[in-house]
Amino acid sequence: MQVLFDQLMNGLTAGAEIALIAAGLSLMFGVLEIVNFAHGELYMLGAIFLYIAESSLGFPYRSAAVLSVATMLPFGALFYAVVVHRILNRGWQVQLVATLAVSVLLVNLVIVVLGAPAKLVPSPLMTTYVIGGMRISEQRILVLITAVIAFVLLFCFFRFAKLGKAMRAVAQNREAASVVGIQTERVGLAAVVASCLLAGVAGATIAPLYNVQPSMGTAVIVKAFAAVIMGGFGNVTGAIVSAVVLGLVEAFSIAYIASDYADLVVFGVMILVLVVRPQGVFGRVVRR
Amino acid sequence: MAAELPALEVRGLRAGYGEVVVLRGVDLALQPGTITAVIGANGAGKSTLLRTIFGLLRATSGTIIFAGEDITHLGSHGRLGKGLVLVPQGRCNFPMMTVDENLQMGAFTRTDRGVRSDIERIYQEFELLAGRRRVLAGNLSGGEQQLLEMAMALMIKPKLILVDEPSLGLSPGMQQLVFGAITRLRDLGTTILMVEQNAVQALRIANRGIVIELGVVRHEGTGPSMLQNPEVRRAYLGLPA
Amino acid sequence: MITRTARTLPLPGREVLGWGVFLVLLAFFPALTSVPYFIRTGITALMFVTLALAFDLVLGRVGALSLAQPVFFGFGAYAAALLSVRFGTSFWQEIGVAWLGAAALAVFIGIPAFRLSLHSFAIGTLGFQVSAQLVAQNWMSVTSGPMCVTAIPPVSLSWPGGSTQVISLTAQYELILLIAAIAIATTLLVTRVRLGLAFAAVRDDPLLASARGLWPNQVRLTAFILSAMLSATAGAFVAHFQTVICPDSLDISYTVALLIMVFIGGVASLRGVVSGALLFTVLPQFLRVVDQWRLVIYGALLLVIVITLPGGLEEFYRILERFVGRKLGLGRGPAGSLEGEGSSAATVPQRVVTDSSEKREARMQVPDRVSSTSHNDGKSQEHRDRGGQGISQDGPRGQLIQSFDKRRLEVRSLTKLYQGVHALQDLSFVVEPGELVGLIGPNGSGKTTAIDCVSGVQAADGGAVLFGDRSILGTPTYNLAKHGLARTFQTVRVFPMLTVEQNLLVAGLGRASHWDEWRQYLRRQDRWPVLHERSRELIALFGLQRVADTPAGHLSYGQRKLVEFAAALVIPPRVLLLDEPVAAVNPTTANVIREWILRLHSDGVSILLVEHNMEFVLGVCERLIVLDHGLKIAEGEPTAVMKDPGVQEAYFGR
Repeated sequence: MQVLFDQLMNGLTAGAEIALIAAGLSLMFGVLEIVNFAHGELYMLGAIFLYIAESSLGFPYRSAAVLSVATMLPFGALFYAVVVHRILNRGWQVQLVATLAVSVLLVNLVIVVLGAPAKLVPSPLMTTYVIGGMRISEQRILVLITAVIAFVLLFCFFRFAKLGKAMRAVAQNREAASVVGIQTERVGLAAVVASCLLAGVAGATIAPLYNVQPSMGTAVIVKAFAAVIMGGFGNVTGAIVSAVVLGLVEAFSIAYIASDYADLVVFGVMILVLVVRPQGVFGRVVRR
Repeated sequence: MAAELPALEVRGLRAGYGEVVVLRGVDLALQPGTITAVIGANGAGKSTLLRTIFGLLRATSGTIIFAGEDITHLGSHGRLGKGLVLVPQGRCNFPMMTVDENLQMGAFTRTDRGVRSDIERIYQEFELLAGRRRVLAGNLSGGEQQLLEMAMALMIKPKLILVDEPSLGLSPGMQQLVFGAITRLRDLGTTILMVEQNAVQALRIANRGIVIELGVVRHEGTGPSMLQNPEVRRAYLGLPA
Repeated sequence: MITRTARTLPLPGREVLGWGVFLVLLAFFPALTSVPYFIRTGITALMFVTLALAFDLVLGRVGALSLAQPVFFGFGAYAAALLSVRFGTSFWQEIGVAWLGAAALAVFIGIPAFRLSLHSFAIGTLGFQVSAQLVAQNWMSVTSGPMCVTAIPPVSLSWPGGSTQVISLTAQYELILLIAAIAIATTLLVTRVRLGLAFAAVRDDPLLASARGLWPNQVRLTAFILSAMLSATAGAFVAHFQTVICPDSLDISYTVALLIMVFIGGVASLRGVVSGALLFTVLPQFLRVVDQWRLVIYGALLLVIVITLPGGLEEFYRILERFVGRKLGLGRGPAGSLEGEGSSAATVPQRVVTDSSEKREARMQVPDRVSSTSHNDGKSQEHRDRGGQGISQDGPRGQLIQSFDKRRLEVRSLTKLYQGVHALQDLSFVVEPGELVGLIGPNGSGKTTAIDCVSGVQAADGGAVLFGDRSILGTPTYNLAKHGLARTFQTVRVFPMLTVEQNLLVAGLGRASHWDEWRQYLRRQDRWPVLHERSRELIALFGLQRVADTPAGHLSYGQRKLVEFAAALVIPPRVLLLDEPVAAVNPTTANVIREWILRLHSDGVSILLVEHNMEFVLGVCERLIVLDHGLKIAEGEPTAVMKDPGVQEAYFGR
């Protein structure tokens, strides 16, 4: 029973992590129709910024976390201006290779500057509560709560904020959006910044749980993709839900099957879903 | 009526896509409260003309003057603000949003509170849409979507509407509906520049017609005179001279 | 027989010759240097050339981004390693196993993967690669996991009478050169045989390819299998060359490297990919000093290149070629080729313009295509005697139509729902053999949906469709096309990167039965007498001579509509479904199309015509069916139907 609950917590945490990353990925795809293969590295950068803020700049965890997420704002703008902006109207191959190139660039840049080995990022939230015989780690609670808050904010943003509605509009029909007066460039920039922020939040909250290393992005991106695909490309809600499911699948596979093959199970699930329903679990089929 | 400023004046407009030059020096002037029909063969530059006037495409040279103001260097966002709106060819709505939401999006640039009542007025004008308020735009038929797009354009109470092929894909009955709406708008004082493949229909309701060929204006005149012009008839109307 | 003007040389022959010379020169490379390191680099470079070409076969030629290449490479490597270590096999045996295994793997991965959309396919194949690497790492008993398979003996070649081992560096170099030559030859072959047309069609527009009778997933799978076999061959060689094979042979870094090579070189360009691979392997030698930064530089380089020069080196070569061509005063070769067009649609203008007089003149300078119509008479005679049952590729045209059995198209209670909206409700109608029926109705009445359901483009929610006596609801579009059910699309569709003539040839290829189609794959595109004659005939009849060798994407809207129409007629269909054939065309083009419809009608083809242009429909159809909101509301003789009050109301409004 203890194991079950532990895995549940692990699964939910992993799910939240994947969900934060998948949400940003789905958002970028929905608004800009770009599959960002460098998205995992944005997550990694969030964690790296946290590490730098704590170890080199000496900030305590809380402020370091806030700082690292805040850094994703200008970074996102930079990423948009230098890369995304230039690959907007190109074919998907150009976009894919360009973002893959950015991924290679970022990973190796971090390796050269900070070194490849993993780093530890301390956090004051080390306490583990014991309630009714079940162990709950404080840091994991932070992850879950932050993720939930982030998603609620995101949902409200899309529903009620003008920029959010504009994002949905651009995602559905870019030309129509221009025609009604939406400035699609700004919306695109906002989408990139938003997905960087989401990735940054994931990095800042998850980093203390695992080691921070340059390759952490590539480890998680494939699962994030799986979640985005399962959820239906461009469907942010679908991506989030699928991510949680995959997180749980992974956690339980590790516990009950074998940790090495957990990834295989996750893929297996994704492929199974796609074979049965190629448009994804939540992908909607509209007439034209 | 005293001589009014032309609603729209275009001089020497040139535009294209990359190295393909489509408009090669177009001149035209639209009087306020009139319908001008643009006809011509495919690829002649009709749609390009509208897109350039609206600002989706940047002109390489020439000027565009809207109600006396030079808007050549204004982006489409700015031109919308001046009361210039485009109803493009093909599907130009938000398929995953309902009809009502689409109309709200049509009013995106508005900051006043009259949006809701204007939407209700649209529903009165277009019964077809009233019955489909909650339907996702993507599930409407082609003609219904075309109507929706015209309605969306009306949400900003435009002074000049650029319409690209309003009858495309519509049955004759629907076409009558759409042309009727266009005529009513003209009678209310809106200026309309309309590209139409269905030349006969277009020239019947238009005050003036212009023929674009190879990127320049070839013929122009009043609607009726164009319908009678044998050269125009033969080449563009598919009718015996 | 084949005419040549003094100013133009046939490019294909020149190309093959050029590569032959290049490869022979490469063979002499080891003789130029005695430094083992350089030869090793050469070997690695040639290995990457092979892998890159195999990768481009799928990416550039059929347009699918497969990230599973390391799986096949690794399989070939492990197979060769294990077989030679444990059983002392010869290289031929290892290749045999590698080919069979790789092909099987390709089928196993490909069948589920190709069902996915573009992006999902990439992720799906990535999943397979990650899984394969995991298996290699954990299946200790077979692969020894991280301990690697070691002490792999050199390549052993055996033949009746003896055997030899490939030990020296030079010998190994020549062996991999041979393998790379096979990869190059395969690519050259593919672009010249009919399979190449199928590849390009499926790459450019899978839905249209399907409507013309090609089975997209099967065509892609073919490329995938070929690619797998080539990769596995390279893998088998590398096992012997490295003498050690570890799970990192299946690592994603190979995929990244291949992507860099192919994109820097130019997708779907033979010379581009080869240069890209060579450059990528040779360049690091100069960057050895800044080894740490190597990957950072690659990433940056790749980013810059893909943004500024998306066509890669191929684009650069073309500029060079034009420059040199102008200097030497050579005429331009045929405009449409299957080379170097994969990377982005940016090469085709978004909007097309009618011919200006300058453009018309330019097209007249394009030399006539080589066509052999005079010989092969003996062959046609044979087929004429055979009496051509059904659809025969090599029979003369006259025979094709007469041999058709007439078939009736019957639609029974066809229903289709879209989220609660009835697109079609219980629709039933018949098109008798040889009839010309119009399907009209107000907008939203379900006309296009009906055609989509009948042609297999959309799935229906109920009812049945009978073609002859066979139920075809649920049959894939390509099978229907092969049985003589042709259609055109509301939004005109052509293969933009193929010339007008190639568009017609592809249509002819697709119409053959599956078996006949496969049998032809390896036959040459330029020796196709009957189909060439037929396409030339159609091109002349539609007035498209001037643009016959122009990529279809460059034509005006009206011209493309004519091409689409002609493509549906290359082999006269049994039933032709026309979806708004004259929408948005000028009156002259409309008249040409009307003439053709009437002519087909008199030839006995059944036609179902969806149109809005009332004048057109009334002047052409024998019978009208009227739909409104998915229901049939009237049927009968045109003038009578138009007078029907219900129709008037539904159509013209109150």
